[in-house]
Amino acid sequence: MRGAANVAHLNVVDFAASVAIAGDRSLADRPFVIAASAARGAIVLGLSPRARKEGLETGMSLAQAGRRVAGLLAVPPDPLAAARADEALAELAARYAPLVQADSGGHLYLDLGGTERLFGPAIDCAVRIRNEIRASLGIEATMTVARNKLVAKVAARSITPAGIACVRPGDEAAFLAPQDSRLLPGMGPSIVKVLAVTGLRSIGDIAALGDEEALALFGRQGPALRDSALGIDASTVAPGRLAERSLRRLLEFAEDLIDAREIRAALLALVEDAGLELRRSLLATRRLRLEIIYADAKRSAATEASRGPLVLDSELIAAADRAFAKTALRRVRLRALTLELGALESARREPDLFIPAGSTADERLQKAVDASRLRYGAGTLTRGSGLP
Amino acid sequence: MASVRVGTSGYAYVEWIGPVYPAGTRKEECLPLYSGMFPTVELNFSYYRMPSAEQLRRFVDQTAASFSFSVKANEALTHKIEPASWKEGAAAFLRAIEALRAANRLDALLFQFPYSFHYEPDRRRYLDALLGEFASLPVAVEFRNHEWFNNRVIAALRERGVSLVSLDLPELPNLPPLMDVVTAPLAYIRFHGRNDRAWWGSDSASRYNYCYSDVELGAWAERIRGIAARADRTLVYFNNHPGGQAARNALSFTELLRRAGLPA
Repeated sequence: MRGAANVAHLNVVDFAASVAIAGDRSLADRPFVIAASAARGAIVLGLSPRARKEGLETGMSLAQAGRRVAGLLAVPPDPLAAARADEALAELAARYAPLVQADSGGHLYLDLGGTERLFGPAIDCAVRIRNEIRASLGIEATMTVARNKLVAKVAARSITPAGIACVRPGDEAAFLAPQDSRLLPGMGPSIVKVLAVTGLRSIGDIAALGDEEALALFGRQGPALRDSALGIDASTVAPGRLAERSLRRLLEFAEDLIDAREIRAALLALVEDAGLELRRSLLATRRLRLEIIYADAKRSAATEASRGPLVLDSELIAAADRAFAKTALRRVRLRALTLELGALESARREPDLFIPAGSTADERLQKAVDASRLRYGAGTLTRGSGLP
Repeated sequence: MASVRVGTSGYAYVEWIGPVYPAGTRKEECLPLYSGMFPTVELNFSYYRMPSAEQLRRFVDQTAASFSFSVKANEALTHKIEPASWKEGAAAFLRAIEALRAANRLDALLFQFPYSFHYEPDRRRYLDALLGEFASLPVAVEFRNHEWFNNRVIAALRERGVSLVSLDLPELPNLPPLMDVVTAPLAYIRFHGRNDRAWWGSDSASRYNYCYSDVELGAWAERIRGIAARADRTLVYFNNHPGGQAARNALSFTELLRRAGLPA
């Protein structure tokens, strides 16, 4: 990996609650939750710092939360105020950074490359932005700086809920190694299950996997996960707000293709590659556009819009297959495929970077158990019911 | 916003007579003179020999009531840990610092662990036990090995109300990352200089031989603003002692913080 540590990540933990506090300072020291209604069945969507300290969690029912914390206040979400705060954060960041990737919900990436003569080293500039945000918007943000977005994201998760951190160029793998493996983006429920069974507790444990071990434990995309654990991330800061951006992938074939199986395999590879970046960026899409470039240079395209967010490969592949069926109407060799994922939004919860190999949960578990036994010895794992 | 107190690591350096203290100053006159310049000091002789309560009581008597002390833990607790006897060392240290605590002049205890103190199960168990011995006191922990700068350690320090020391040191591989995380009501910052060429394999006089520029200190003032917003008290100590540079930098940093509107 080369280059300076110029990528800054700004992260506002519990964004909705932070925005509520910024609008009403009297809330700062009160335990409160964000919930869509005050009905007892309502779900807790966000937490204030005090509520988090009291041990409340998002996803629990309001009634449950109320039983744990006496006098708990329920504040309704304010999408307008949140959008305004997102806008203000992006505007403030843009005063310093030539490229600002404004993901919603208080998540921004800034490329500070080339600004040193104006604003000093990237970390000093990042600190200044953090301070200005607190002073002018009343919002506390975590600020981290690293050579790429992935390492900056893990650093932010490591020091949450607030603070600053800078990972020196060349120290990425060393910094990631002792961190909890769940801090890597894309550690959704399926992957976490495999990590738990195999005892891969730290990111360094994943980084230490060889290609074969990564493949055995996680399937085809295992090596990509291992590379993430080493701090490798080639994605760039994509300027613009989430709604304005899209994620594009182009696959040009070495030779023009006509064989249906080969074309489907290429389409799957394309979708999986884009899906990996989508989930690593903790995003979802509602629009998939597939363009076909024929050997005679003619093009055709189809778009699949979805009512719900698409996150997983299975969802993306189904949409890509439908788009392909709609647009691949000529019996002519193909030269390239272009995939574009648009109408991006934040994934609501941590998505699995990919679903580990094995079609059912039992199969996945068995595969992980087998791989773990191969690695650490046959006696390391046994069924609890088999214990004396 | 919390108070920010700035001082130096140690005060009784022979080479400070002249640049910091008037020529002819005797060693026993240093502390009263020092306490006229700074509100706090990080005692570091205690690292080399276990302090006694009597000694620390004398320090209290020699200084104004508003002056306070941080105390660096003895090497028997951080660098030369004997599994069989460290608890005796901890008890002796506790007895000594009681003199400062009783006089309400104790800022913090500093446990500075060397690079060789790795993030390993035995070391983690030791640290847990050590912090347990000092649980009722304001404690700051400084790690020189990067492995400790991870989410589990941060969460564990936060749970125990122990400060993770923010560091300024050279940018060298495997040294701690730049990290400001407030894990306790007390925030603790140490400036070691940025002498990367002398960091490894040199004596402390060469390793810490560095003078911070105003630009470098200016950037730190902004970092302090963020730290002080989340802490009740912030302590800042300069350890770049050779030639009195620590004292010079501490004075100019105090001035800089005041100009920036921070309560130094």
